[in-house]
Parts: sequence; C-alpha cells; structure tokens
Amino acid sequence: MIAFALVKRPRPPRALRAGVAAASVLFALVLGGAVMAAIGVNPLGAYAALCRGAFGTRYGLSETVVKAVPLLFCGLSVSLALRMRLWNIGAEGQYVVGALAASLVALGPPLPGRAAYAIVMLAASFAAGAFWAGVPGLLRARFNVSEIITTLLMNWVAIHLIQFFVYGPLRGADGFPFTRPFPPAACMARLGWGRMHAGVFLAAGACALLHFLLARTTWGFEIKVIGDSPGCARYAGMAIKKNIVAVMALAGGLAGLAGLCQVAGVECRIPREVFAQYGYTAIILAWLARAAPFGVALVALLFGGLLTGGEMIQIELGVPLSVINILTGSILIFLLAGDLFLDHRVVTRRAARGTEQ
Amino acid sequence: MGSGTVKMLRAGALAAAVEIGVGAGALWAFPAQREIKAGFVYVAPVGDAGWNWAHDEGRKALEKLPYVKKTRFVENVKEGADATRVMTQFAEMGFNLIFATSYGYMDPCVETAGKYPKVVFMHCSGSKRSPNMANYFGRIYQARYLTGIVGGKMTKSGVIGYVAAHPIPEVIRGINAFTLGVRSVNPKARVRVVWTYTWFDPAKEKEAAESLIEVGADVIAQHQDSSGPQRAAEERGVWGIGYDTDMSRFAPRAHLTSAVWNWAPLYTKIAADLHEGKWTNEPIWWGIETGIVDIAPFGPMVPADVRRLVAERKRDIAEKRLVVFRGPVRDQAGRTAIPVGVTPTDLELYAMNWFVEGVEGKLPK
Repeated sequence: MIAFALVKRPRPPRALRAGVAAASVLFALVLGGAVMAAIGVNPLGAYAALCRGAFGTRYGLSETVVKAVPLLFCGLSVSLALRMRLWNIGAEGQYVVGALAASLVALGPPLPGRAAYAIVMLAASFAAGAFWAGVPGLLRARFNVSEIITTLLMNWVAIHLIQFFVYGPLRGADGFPFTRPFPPAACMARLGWGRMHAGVFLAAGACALLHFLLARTTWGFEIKVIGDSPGCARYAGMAIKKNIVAVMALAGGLAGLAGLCQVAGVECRIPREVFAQYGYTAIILAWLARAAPFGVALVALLFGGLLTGGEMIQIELGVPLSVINILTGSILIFLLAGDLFLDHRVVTRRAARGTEQ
Repeated sequence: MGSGTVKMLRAGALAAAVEIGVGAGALWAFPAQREIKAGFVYVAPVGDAGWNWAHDEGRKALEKLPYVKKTRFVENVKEGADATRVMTQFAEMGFNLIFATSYGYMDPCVETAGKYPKVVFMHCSGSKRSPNMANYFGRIYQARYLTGIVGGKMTKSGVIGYVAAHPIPEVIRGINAFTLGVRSVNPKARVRVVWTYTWFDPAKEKEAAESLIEVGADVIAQHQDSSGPQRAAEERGVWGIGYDTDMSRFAPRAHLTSAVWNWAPLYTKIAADLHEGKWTNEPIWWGIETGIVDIAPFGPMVPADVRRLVAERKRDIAEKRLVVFRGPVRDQAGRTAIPVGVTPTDLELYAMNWFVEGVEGKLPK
C-alpha cells in the first residue's frame, strides 16, 4: 500500500501557483455544478449566466467593476497590514467611518464647487479611517495590545456610530433611516458607463502606488523586515513602533476611501445598510492574493463578478441564492485549501522518509 | 384603455413627474401587455418564513395566469444601490413588471423606472410615484389591531413586549394599532417596545424578545420577518403573536395568532390590469375586507369568547363600522392626538411618527 506525506516546499514556482488556482476553481465549479444538477438546474447554463451577468454585458461589467472598488480598497488595507504581519480585522469599521466622514462633509455647509468637495471629502474619509485604525496601531505599539481584538471591536463602535447618525441627526425628511441625497457637486463624477465613477481611477491609482511603495521603496522593505523578522529589524535600528502606527493608519485610510467611493460614487447618500461586509470579505481577498496589491485587484474583480453574476443566475434560471452561496463558498474553500499544495509537496511515505534523513 | 388615451394622458403632464403622497396627483395609464414577465426583488431570503415568503406566495399565484410567461426573484438584495442593479438587470432581460418589495427600494425604483419607461414598477409600502411606477400596500394595521385584542385578553402581567424592526412610520403605525387593540379590552395594559434595527436577523430578534420577557412581558409581538421572537416565547413559556405568515409551526405552544399577508389577490389583479391595459399608477392600499391582510388561525389556548370578540371586530372593521385610528386617540404623554370622531387621512397614517398612549418606548430622534 502506498501512503502519502506532505513535505514543505520553500518557494512555490509561479506556474504551479497558477495551476493550483485554476484547479481549485475547477473543482469548485464541479462541486457547485453537482449541487445545481441535483436540484434540476443545468450547471453549464448557470455558469454561462454567471459569466454573462458579471463580464458579458456592458452594464454587467460596469457593475462588477463598481462592486470591486470598495473590495479593492479594503483588500489593500488588509494586505498592507499583513505585510507587517499585522491583522487588520477592522477594515469594515474603517470603511464605515470613512463613509460617515465623507457624508458629514457632503451634507454639511455648502462648499464652493466640485473640486472643493472632492478634496475635503477625500481628506475627511482618509483621516477618519486612519484614526480608526491608528488607535489600535498605537495600542499595539505602546502596550502590545492585540490589534486583532481592537480592530474587530472598533467595527461595532463604527456601526453604532453611523446608525446613530442615520437614525438621528442625518435622517432624511420622510422619517426613514436614510440620509437625504448629497448635493450633486458632492457626488463623484460618473464616467458615462453605467455607474462607473471617478473612484475607479482612485482605486487603481491606490493599488499601483501601494505596489510601488511595497516593492520599490526602502520603507516597503523595512515593513517587510519588521513583519518577518522583528529581531533583525531591531538590530538594524528600524523604527518598529513608529512603523506599526504608520502602517495601521495608512491601512485604515485606504479602507476609509472605500467608504468614500461607496457613498459619493454609488449611493450619493448613506443608505440604511452602508456596511456590506466589504471589510470582512477583504480579509479573504488579501489572503487569496497573498497581500500583493495587483493580486488583490484581480481577486476583487472576481468577487465583484461573483456578486453581480450570482444575481443573473437567479434572474435567468431561478436558482435560489443559497445554491449560489454554496458555489461561491466552495470556490473560496478550494482556493484556500489549494494553498496546501503550494507550500507542500505530496510525496509517498518512502520518499518522505528519504528527504527527512 | 387604448393607446390613444395613454398618449393623451402622457401629454398632459410633464416628464419625470415623481409625486409624493398617497391618493393625490394625476393618474397615468399604460398600454396593454400581451405577455407578462414579472421580476421580484426581496430584501431577505425567501426562506425567512415571513415577509419575503409571503410575497413569494403571491409570485407563485402569478405563475398560474396564462399570460404570465415567467416570474423570477432575486433574494437578499440590500436597500440602496444594489437594488438599482437588480431592477436594471430585470429590465434589461425583458421583464415588464417589477415588484420592489421593501421600503428602502423606493428611490432606486424611481431612478430605474425613469430609465425604463416601458416597464411597470410596483413599489411596496412607499410613497413616491411616477408615470410607470405605482406603490401598493395593505392595511396590516387593521390585522394588528385584532391581534392586539387577543394579546390584551391573554396577558396576565399586563405587560406585552413588542419586538420592533426599524423606527419608521410603517412599524410605528403597527405598534400603535396593536396597542389600541390591546387597550380596547385591557385599558391598563402596557406595550413595551424594543428596537432591533433589523428586518431579518433571527438571533438578534430572539434576544430582543428574551429581554422583554425578562422585564415581565408575557405576550411577545413582533414586526420582523424571522421567527426568532416566536421561538423565544415558546422556549420561555409565554404567549406569542407572529407577523407576516402563520408562525404557529415555530411556536406551537406559544402562538396565539399572527397578523398575516396574502398578496395573491392583489398581485394577480395587478398583472391582469396590466395585461388588459387597465393598469394605472394609482396608489393601492387595500384593507382587511379584500383579504390582503388577515389574522392566522388561533392557537388552541385562545378561549371561545376571545375568538368571538375578534371575529366581531373584524367584521366591524371590514364593514367600516370600526375605524382603527378614529379619535379620540391620545399620545404617549396623554395629550389628545386625534380628536373625537376624527379619522386621520391616509397621508397622515403614512407619516405617523408618534406613539399612542400605552406604548412604553422611545423613538430615536
């Protein structure tokens, strides 16, 4: 009988990475297809609808991109922190305070013109997000308080804060829990393609900039060293505490911009449920993309597509949402499980013994 | 109505006329549709056993009509920008009748209706209309009043807990009607309100019910779409009054009755009107006499005299001898809110943002 064992693999080859990802998605599609076939739905038809809804029509594609924008910002936020081995579980809350800060500017005293609104709202949402993540960063740097717990708990504070405003002072005239619409000058310019807005460029720019910072600058190198080997960093005289706060604040600012894009780019008000789990989804995103900015962009588009395409499966084929959730869930699980084969080689028991010796 | 008339009606008013208000404003007609493809947008999963499940029963009734070619729904659609996308996708896919079944779909519905003038949009529980968009609802508060009578009769502690969804007029109206029903038979009873700020969150809504039971409530009423509060009542051995659908299967020992929806008659009428060219954007607010709202069958614990009383009151409401909000009605502070003999207009009911006497709870300001 042949027994198998896993052996650690130091550096997965690039081709293998692509192959494992493709195989993971394939397995998930087969599993999801089996579930759909079991309830009498043609899986190929469903996947065709998924692709058509997400990427196949002009409108669908624009909506996929619009959905991907907040996911990308939040994904970049989590990724940046991950580079330093910090867990930002609070992108959701930072997103919410970013949205709130931008809305307070938009609904506040009038500003002279579009540019003024754009600049002040951008600054406000970035600052709010940066503050929301900076506090856990400071607590981590000064007192070694786990940022996992603090960022998570700050989410609840943020959600209650925005609820207070939406149900209270910012509530619209008809008594329902939405704010009144922003003045037109406070809404982001639309690009003339569906609801694509200027935030698409902002997100793409942030992605490229973060890639540059991480890959090409000394600071990028520094935070990687601090994350991977704090001892080395200390020995090299790197400012660990300062960088923890800076990285968390920058990460929070990025998530804050996600909130800005959602309220100023898409909704043009705060709707009742502005929090849409983007911040939590971002953790999976960052993990799947291995914290690489362009990877995050790719995965954000995939997720946006799953959301819009999932609706199309419901419209075209009448498949219930739960089946689509099984499909998206299994894509995730297979992708995450696929990681095992990236970091490890599967060998027979005998060969394993050979390598150990 | 022929298409000539339609054109005349259209020429009469200016484009993008979004009116606010119930029963006011010009009527718009719509050309007859030979075939109907109906799309439904739901705010929670259909399996919620509540609001969305009830709408979906209405959708299934539509499927039986020969000229309805197809019906489809998208579940769990957030109020706001996501709803715009789903409605747009429906319109792009050739659906010509779209039901937006949650209050927060109102502005997205107006926006999408403006872009697709050849599609009819029906928005549930809202107040805005446009040439190809109407709103519809049922007077569920009448059913709530009746369930209030049951609650008022069954409570021993004199404290009834009400697990409330969002502090909006629709929910407030329901709490008020329920309280008026309670106090019509039990003038000393109080209705304690807890807000969950949710439409569908079974765990949170169950917890809210438990907190009310802790402070002495021995009847639990609810507004959310989940069975959470009923399950809390069942576990804690108090009475429960459900909402949306007959919730007795979740709380067989606790469930007294529920205020329930039956959308099938209205939905089939809307489709028939559209098919025959009789559709207009006239707002619809049907009462208990049409069967759109009702109460679920009583649990075995409800005594015969209570059943008789409720049946009588139901007849009174259906035949307009009893009007739920006719004055005198006092507000929470005991001041006269509706003077003797005065019946509030539908517009006033739509905007209700104050509690009647007997409600214990606060509206967030």
